[in-house]
Amino acid sequence: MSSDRESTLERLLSGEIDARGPEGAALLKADPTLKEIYERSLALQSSLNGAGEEQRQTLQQLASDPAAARQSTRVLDRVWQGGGSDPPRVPRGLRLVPLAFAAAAAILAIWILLPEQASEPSTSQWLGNVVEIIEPRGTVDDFGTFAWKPVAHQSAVQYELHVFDPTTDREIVSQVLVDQTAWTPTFGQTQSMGATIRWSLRAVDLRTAEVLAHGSAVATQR
Amino acid sequence: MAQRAIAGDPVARRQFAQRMQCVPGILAARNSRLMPPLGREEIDDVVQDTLVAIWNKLHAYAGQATLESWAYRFCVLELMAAARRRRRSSTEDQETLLREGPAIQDANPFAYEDLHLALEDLSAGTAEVLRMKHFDQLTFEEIGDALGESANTIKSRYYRGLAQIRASFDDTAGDAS
Repeated sequence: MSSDRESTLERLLSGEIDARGPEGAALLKADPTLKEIYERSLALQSSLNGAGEEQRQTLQQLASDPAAARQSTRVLDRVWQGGGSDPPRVPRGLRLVPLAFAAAAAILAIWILLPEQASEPSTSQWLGNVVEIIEPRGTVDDFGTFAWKPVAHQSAVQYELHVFDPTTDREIVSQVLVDQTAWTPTFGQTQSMGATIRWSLRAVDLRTAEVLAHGSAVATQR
Repeated sequence: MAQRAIAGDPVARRQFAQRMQCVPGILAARNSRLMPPLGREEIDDVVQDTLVAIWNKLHAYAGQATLESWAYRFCVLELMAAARRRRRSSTEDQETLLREGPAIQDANPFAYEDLHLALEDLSAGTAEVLRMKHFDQLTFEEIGDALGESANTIKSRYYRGLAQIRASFDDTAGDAS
């Protein structure tokens, strides 16, 4: 496009020249190519406005969603633990497991909260292999570090850690780690925990999604 | 916050992850307009792909738009890519499409697909000006103030961007004919 035509087009689009006024109408009539480009530019601007409107509406309708926040955190944690590379996909079969796990956790919570069990559940209550919890368990100074012994396995192990409020069984924090045996919650996360927490850990074969072992502990801050 | 998150600051990373709760929300909203929408597991995959794409490009986030606006474009592109993959993967779906035309609900969720893709092909600075103008509804003066450039420079870049998109649509139309 010639620079003259380009300049005229900009003046028409910016409204500097009124396209419906005598000058604009004459320019467009005299140059059909300019007229065609002008009309396509208007249509393009209209589409850009439409796309912008669609974006604004979508963003305005977003509400705070704890489940979405947990999902984002889970994915990003896996990215960060993988050094920024694509995280391994959660195998589809495994995605149903949290529901079953939540149900199991609820049953366990009832078990834990029975008077004779109130002090601390033993991980030996689990059937199958046990992840040995190191800390926090029992009475502790703080919930600064969560640590456990590694589950011996020939391939990568994913540890799924969940912290619960034992009085309501509400999940406070969850974290997914790969081949790590400790986790340090952020200040905000420790602040969100009450004086007593119950936390559980599940070790899963990252490749096959086979559950390798469970662990659980109750800890109270002094 | 974005730069601190990239540098590994755990607090900034928590804040970033919290802000990125918009991603499942945006994808759910847009997915609900597809006919049929992607299934739960497919959309979970798109959430993951989108968050990875956002994280990998976060260094390019200059802070002119909100993080949510900036993330929106990744959601759109990843969802469109997933929907296209689904369409390609099903011969039956393709036959249905040929018979019945594009599957749409009340509005075509792919109405601005070409536009979003064309914006991605522009230089980052030019695309930013177009987005600030039309998505954030800023004037050339306001964009100039935000980017530390004169309104005239911004205006030139804006019209250059429009011309480039027009040309890319011409190329696409030429290829199709």
